[in-house]
Amino acid sequence: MYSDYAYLIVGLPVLAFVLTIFLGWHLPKGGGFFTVLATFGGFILSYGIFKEIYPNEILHQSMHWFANFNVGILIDPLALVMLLMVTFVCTLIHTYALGYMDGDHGMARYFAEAGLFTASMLGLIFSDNILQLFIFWELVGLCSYLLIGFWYRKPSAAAAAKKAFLVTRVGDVMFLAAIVLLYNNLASLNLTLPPGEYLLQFKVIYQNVAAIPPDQLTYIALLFFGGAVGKSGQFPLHVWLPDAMEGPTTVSAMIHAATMVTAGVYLVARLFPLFYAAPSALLIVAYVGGFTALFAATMGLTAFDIKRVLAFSTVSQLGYMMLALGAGAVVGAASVGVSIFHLIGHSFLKALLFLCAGSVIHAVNTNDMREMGGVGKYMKYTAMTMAAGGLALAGFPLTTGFFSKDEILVVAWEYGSATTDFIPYILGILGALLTAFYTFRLWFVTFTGEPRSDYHKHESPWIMLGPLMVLAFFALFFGLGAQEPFYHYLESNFEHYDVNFEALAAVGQHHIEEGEAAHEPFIIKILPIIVGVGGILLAILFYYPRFRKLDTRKFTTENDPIRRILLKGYYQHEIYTAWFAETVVYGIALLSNMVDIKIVDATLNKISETTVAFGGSLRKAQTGIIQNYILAIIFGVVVLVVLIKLWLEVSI
Amino acid sequence: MDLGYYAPLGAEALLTGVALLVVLLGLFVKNKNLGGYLSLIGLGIAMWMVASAKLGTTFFFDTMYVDGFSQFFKAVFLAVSILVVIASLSRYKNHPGQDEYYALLLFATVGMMVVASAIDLITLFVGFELASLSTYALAAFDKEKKNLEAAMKYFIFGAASSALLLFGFSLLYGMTGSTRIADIAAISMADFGPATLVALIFVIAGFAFKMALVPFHMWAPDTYEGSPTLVSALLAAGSKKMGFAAAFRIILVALMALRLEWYVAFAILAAVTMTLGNVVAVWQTNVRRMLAYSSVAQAGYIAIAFVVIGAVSGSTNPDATYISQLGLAGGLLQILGHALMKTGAFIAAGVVGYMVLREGKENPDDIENYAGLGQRAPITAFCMLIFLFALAGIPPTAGFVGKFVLFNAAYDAGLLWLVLLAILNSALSLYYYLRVIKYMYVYKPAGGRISEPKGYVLALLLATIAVVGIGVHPEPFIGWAMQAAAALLP
Amino acid sequence: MTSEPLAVEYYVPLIMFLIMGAIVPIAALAAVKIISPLKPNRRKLSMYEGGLVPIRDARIQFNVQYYLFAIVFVIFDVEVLFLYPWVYIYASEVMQRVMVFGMNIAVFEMLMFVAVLLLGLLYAIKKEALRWV
Repeated sequence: MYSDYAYLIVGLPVLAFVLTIFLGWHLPKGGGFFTVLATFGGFILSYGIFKEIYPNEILHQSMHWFANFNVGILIDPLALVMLLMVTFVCTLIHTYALGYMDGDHGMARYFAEAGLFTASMLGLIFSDNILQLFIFWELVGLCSYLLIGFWYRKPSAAAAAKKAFLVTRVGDVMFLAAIVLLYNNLASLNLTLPPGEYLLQFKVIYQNVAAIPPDQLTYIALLFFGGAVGKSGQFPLHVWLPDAMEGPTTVSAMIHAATMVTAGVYLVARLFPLFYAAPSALLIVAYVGGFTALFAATMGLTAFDIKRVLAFSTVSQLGYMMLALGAGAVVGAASVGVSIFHLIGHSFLKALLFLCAGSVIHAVNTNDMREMGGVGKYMKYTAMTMAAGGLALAGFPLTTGFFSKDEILVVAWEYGSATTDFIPYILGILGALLTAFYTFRLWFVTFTGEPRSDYHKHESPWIMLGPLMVLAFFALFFGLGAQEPFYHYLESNFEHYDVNFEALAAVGQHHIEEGEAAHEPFIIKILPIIVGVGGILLAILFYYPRFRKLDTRKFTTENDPIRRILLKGYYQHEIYTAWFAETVVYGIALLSNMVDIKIVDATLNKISETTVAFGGSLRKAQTGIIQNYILAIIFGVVVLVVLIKLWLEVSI
Repeated sequence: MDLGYYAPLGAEALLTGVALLVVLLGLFVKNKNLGGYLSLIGLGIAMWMVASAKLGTTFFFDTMYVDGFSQFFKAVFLAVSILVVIASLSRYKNHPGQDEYYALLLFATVGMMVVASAIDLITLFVGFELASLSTYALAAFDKEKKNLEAAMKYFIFGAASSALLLFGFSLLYGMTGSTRIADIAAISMADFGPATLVALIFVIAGFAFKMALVPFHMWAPDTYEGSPTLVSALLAAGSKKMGFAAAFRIILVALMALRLEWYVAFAILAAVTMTLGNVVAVWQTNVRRMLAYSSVAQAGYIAIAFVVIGAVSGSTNPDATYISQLGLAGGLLQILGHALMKTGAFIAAGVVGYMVLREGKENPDDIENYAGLGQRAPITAFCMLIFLFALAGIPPTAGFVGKFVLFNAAYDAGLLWLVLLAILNSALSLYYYLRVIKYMYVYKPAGGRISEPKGYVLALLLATIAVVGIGVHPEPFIGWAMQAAAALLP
Repeated sequence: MTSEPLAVEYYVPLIMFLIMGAIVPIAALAAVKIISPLKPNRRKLSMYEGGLVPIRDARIQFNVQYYLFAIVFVIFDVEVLFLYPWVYIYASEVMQRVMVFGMNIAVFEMLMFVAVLLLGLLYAIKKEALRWV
């Protein structure tokens, strides 16, 4: 019964968008409750569908669109868990935003854009073909542009929005190129599809990847990965994500932590059979993911802006998800479950952390941790919930983050032991240590000690705290209850399409493990716990006033080159903007500009001037005198007769 | 014979009855909008009748024929009339002559529908004149000086064109001895020498007046600018399409034997029309005049359908039938799309005119009045934006679908030069469409927010939904147009 | 020997007609100019109106009601003309065959036609188009 209304999962937020954008100005709270209710309605529907199809069915509805394309809804295990997570987390964040955005004069615009964003994200998830997914992918990008630049009068916000838009666009171009390439390759197979099936449907893609030439597959997979790198903020296209923190904190929570950035991971997971079949594609995924995980974590160590720390952490965690997918080269489709489990858990805890940060910012009116300190005394609930989120992020035993990250490190180790390539594992384990450290650095610096500036000392309203509590509960206990059935459920995802991974492995030249997987040594099992707890302890020693034993100043000085590199974010700004953008690109741009103005424009201008002048003289024929008009008829008749006669004489 | 046999023509009969009833009631009942609501209900029922009519029957001793082609055009005419009537409910509320207005509008619609069904030259001419005469009167309806000038020019030009048309018909009758399209088509024209060419050109000229093809378009800018805005919508979107309906039937069926001759004629007309329409539109600062020239240019695009059919029929191309049907379907889609978006654009211009007149300013259609419309009248401005994009042929709108199918067919027919010219013209047209958009959204508003009249807004929204709906989900409409095309060119 | 005439040959009569059409009026006017003696005086040049000396401007305004009457008259007059073709086909065999509401279709159509005409008359009366003010 719920399945028949699956389209409403997207339809309701779209409706909310329309209602808020037209009527929001006249309603209390900018009509935000429309968006909240619509998203919650989506959650109810998703849950109803979950009840109906769990565990053995999938839901697929498709409608002819035009030519060779269709629009359709595909809800398989992978899409279903994402739908549940997005609707659930977004409902909470929208509720929180009712409090957080209260009083902002653009509230109606905020909720309209948020509703559109939710709709696009949900549409992206349940698309049954890659083209439709791409359309929603672009819509998501547009919404993120609008929301990052929400305070568009602030120059930095406008600049950040532009940067996010342009950087992700680099990925989107690759994504589009991948679709074109994939379509060409599939079309050249000359498949005879039964009615109701279309070339770009995932089902068709899954079943035919093996027939595509392997080198083409690698190109396609890498181009798709390029799109995912842009959206999910992987190295080297991660630069937009920290800047995107210029938007309202709820936007950061919703888009840049919980949902949108996971679209890239979702894309790779969705196309996992394609990546699996492509030689060396997953290797690159694993390396990029692992490197990003560590790289971003190091930058998180030194940032002072509370939201930027969380942003770097997001980049780092997305790296883990990619790393898990990359390890799929050895463990197969199981890696999708591992990665998506971390994605879901991370969504809960990162949304929680951002909302807590928002709560703090709401109270103290600054983003800079150096001006906070001792906030915990006045904001008990916020401090508690944020601690819960921090523990989960750090991978403290038995929290959600512990289970998911542990499993990622295990598959990374299996990958290493099967291929003797332990680099991703090492990157991952180092990243885990740093994660725990910077998370609690953030917590202690913010909530303990003495106030370092004069800020408003008040707790946030309950409409904001409520979502925090719910999210904290999930961040702590979701993993404990859901882990095993989750892995099973997601592992079955590709069975619905009869994907033959053994055949794909042959194409992708993967080594398939025979028999029982190698048992990891005991040290590997407890290493994640050690680094997680160790990182927290280190943070306590450095930053918790009561136990402070170590001082950062002993280890580094103001001029320490490593510290400086980290503070400067590896001089990325200098490299990307100052050197690459302003020297190389600008130089090329100048040259192109000259060619453009001197040659292209000049020619075009000449043509357009001539055209316009031509029009100006033609216009004079319209004299307004009716006699001339009648003359024109006669003229037309005569000219036509003469021309046709001449032409016929000539041509025959 | 029972009356049920005539059911497929029920829509025409019903609308005639409603028109008479509206006039009659207007004599005795003084209700401010009764006529309008009656007309709306009548049009709605007529739309349903047209959609559900049984196809493939001839009536009145082989003078009228109901097939997919005729029903397609009837649906277009009815859609336009419905939109215009909805907007008129706001515009002519409490107007003393409103009963005559609605009656004339309905008569014009009936005339167009008769033309769509006519398979006999005389029936066709009667329908043609019924529509023309009604619109002559409508064009002067507001009784302002500009109206009168517009109507007068329209009338004189129309009378001259009707004379040409009738002369062409009489030549055809003289040569073939019949006024029935089927009979004319059955007779080889080769024996009649140059008279056939003269007859053909006279017929084309007579229709080209309605279609507003250059150089028979001269009345269009003056009339579209000067008439009441809603009447301009009817003229540009409805009456102009009647010209195409008639031309398709007469030229593609009756005069197929003269293929070579009209192929050249339409190649020249299409190329000249779209170029001149677009190039001159660039210069206009009066929005309605700009829309008029854009309408001329669109007629040029639609005329490509003739060229496509002329180019492939009789050739050795194995797909000849399919390509000609595709070409005609493209023309029909463009007609459908253009009818909707042009009606919408004129209604939006009507809102601005309404607003300007309330402020007591002159020159209601000057582009300056569109400054900041996005803030002053957000719904109107947004709908106008959609219509302008659709006119320029930007996806996903009806305008794109029509052009896409049409240009595709032209390309398949080997008319690369014409496709290139049409695409260049589309690019050029963006220039003046974007200018209006710039005024609406970039420039500072000239005044405060205005309340948009309800009838206009409803009509605008309906048209917008239709234009975007066709663009997003074109498949059924393409299927419909192909079916209509197949009915004419089996 | 007969051969296919050239396209131009079709036009020969037309061209002849055009030429003659141009020549005849010019020739007539020229002949008058040449032949007639020209001795104008004031009386000869004055406007002729029934032998009386014309007074005031020749252009006078008719009452606009006159046009209204004229239009209504012309409409009804022309529509009466439709009766003639009707009479012509009334007796035809086809018309006798087709029956509507139990009557000959020709009769039915004429009834409809007259009914619409009557409506028009009613409209004209009600709008006071036929009252001379």
